[in-house]
Amino acid sequence: MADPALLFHDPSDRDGTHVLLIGIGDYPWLEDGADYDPALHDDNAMGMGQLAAPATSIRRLADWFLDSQGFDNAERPLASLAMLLSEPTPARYDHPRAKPAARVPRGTVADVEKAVEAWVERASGRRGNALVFAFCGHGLQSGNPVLLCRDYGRSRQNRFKGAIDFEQFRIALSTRQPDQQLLLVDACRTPDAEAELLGQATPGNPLLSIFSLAGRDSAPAQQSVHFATSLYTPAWGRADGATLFNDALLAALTGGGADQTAEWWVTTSRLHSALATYLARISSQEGIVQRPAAQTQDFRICKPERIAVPLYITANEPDIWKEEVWIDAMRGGALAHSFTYKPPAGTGNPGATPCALRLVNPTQRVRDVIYGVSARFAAASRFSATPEEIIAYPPEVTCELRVSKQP
Amino acid sequence: MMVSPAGISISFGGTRGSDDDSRPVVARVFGFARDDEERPISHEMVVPAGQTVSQDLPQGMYNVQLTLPSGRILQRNVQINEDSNERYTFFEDFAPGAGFSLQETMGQADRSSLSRALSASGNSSSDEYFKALERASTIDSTTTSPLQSFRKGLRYWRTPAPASPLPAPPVHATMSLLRDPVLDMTQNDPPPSEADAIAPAELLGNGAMWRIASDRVASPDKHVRHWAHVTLPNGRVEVASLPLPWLCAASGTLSQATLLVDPARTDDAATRVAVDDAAMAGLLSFLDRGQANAAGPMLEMLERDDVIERVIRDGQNSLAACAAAYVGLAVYDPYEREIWDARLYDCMMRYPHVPDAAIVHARRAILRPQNSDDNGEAAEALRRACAAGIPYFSAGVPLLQEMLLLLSPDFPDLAPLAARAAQLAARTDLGQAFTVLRYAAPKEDRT
Repeated sequence: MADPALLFHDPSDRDGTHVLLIGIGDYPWLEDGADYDPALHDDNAMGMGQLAAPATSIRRLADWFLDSQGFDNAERPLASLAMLLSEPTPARYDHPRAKPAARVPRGTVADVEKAVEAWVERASGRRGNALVFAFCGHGLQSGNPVLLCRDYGRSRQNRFKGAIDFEQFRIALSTRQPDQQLLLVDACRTPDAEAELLGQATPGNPLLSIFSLAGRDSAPAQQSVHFATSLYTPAWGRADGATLFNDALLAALTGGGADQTAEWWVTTSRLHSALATYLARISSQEGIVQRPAAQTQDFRICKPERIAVPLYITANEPDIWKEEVWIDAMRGGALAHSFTYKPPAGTGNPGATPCALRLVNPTQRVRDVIYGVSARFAAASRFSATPEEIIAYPPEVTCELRVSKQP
Repeated sequence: MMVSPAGISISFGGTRGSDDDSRPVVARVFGFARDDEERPISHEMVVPAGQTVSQDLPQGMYNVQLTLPSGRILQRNVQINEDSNERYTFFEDFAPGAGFSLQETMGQADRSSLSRALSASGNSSSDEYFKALERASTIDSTTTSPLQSFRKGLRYWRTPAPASPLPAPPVHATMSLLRDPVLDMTQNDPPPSEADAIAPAELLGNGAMWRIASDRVASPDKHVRHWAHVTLPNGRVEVASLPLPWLCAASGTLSQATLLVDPARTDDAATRVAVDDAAMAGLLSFLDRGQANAAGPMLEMLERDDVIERVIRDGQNSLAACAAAYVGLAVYDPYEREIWDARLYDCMMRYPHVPDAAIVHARRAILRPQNSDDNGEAAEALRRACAAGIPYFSAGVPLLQEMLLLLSPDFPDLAPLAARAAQLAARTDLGQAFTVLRYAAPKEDRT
């Protein structure tokens, strides 16, 4: 039977990357859900409610995998992409490379189980294939990570009937054929409220059973698992946008995790470093704390043709940010990027807030990481800045302008 | 005239504005010599806590990246001119981020170690904790908050259970030592406290710190294992594995273990454990932060300095050997560094009472099987590990569980051991290097 979650499939007989994306935002049996009755479901809800960010985040990730400027891996090109989305109404996903006007399954644990089975079947044809699994939604830590599907809490007698035992799933997955397996978990890891669960086996559906390693020459697959947040801490998402992890992840995959010593591939270990770097900045800007965690075995994920590196500009004279500033980034003697900073209206001193510019190395030539950065001011300005030469190396770069001020 | 070589000196100054320079970091220098801009230059080095390291470089332009134990990268660009040899101190320019490592705070002498550790952990005794609590409550409120857009975010906030309010005046935990207790992985009730409580070395607010010297637990029988039995003010019990005796690789003397108990920590364990060992400090800090995969240069430095050979070959410190092995498993390709095969096997044979030694050997064997249709050697190592007891390092707990599960289809006798390991994993605080087990409060204390 056809897999209803499958949006893209390239049947070519070669090694490829098989992707499964799960975004669960609508939880009918959690607070504000369609079937939520406080008298019946409050205990199981534990304060959890509806989420907007998972659908946005998973759609953005799907777009990146399918876009021509997105996922680029000549050794293992995109071979299939399947998606499940739990939104208040049945979700559709449109993309020129996806099955036309596709309606995607809604992410009950039964839906997830079927999609996982089909995904593993597709990917198991070749040992050289790669797997990508991404989950975004509610999660908690109950001994091991537990990921909550759309029907979490439907059963009042066994609330975890609608949940995934991620650790068992991950271990079972490592007994399957594809050699490289990337798992991305964008969910809270706060501990379950039930202290009595201490020392009990993890609840939830493991989705897969464990196969004998004899089928894999006695060795498990290489896995790299990336959690949006560290153990016992929450992950964050925007009510009107994506999750913070999703912002960091896409920035890392589009170049932040690339490394010249790995021939500009984004590797799993550099991915983690980039995620840690970006999330530190993003979460700090939002006044919260979120630090990613990982269990990595090192392998290549993708090789972005254009490597984007954020540039943060500061100045020894913070008063320059009270004025309009034109920032130019030159590469090889030619203007590569420019940015016009306009001070926010109606505020006093904006402080030393750095302004950001996205530098894109279009060639992967090592010489093209060198930029000249200069700042220009209005004719009446008392400021002038000395041009700086920088190396724009991933994951991010800062440049402090040396500004002088006429009396 | 003698020309001094150009280069840079790098140090890490901690969070800007603080006096915390206790964290070891990994530095990488990438750049181009002025006379050869097509061939990049790359160096990687360890910057020990509070120290400065220097690197000779030809004139040119360089990007210096520091990887912190939290995994975050700091970077800056550096221009090297003729004869220039400037010192660059890096600072973390915003909050150090989630998580706390007691191990990271070891080795500073200029402040009270308890004050420093509690400050770093966001303890109830400090204003920072209350600020954080207030902020988190505000975020979930429906009032106009600058962070209201996060209200429907992935996180949810639970106010502390009424049974464990933040107490005032200070209420401290009590601690006593357990000598070689029978700790079953499946045991639901905590072991009873056997000995008299030991007075803390330092108290601050609700926090308490103990220092336990290796000679306090010295025994003619080196295989006797010691645990700290901690009773929290709310009645819950935590049992922490003490990594003792620990022979310091730097000084050659026996180190003490430090135990910090912060009752305000309710999501993870209130008890934290660390050891003083200047040579191993960097590696242990990365391990304590769950960043073993970024600690490769730390391990390489220890190998270069012959520290690893000494702790393994000379049997100086079985636990340090296992800490290094956990990092080695995380950073080295299983088909690289064949010397580790022999090292890990030797560890297992030499230290049959250390479960971690058998765990790391089993892991290496599974990742690089000698025989394509049999994992018998790994299975046997796992049986040894289970017989030796609970791992000293929390990293060993999920590895044990994973490997037992992986091999159970072919070795059915491992299936019940896997179930036991799963129960152990659910009790272990996996967010720190050394094993701390958590037990629910006795039923009569629960509300």
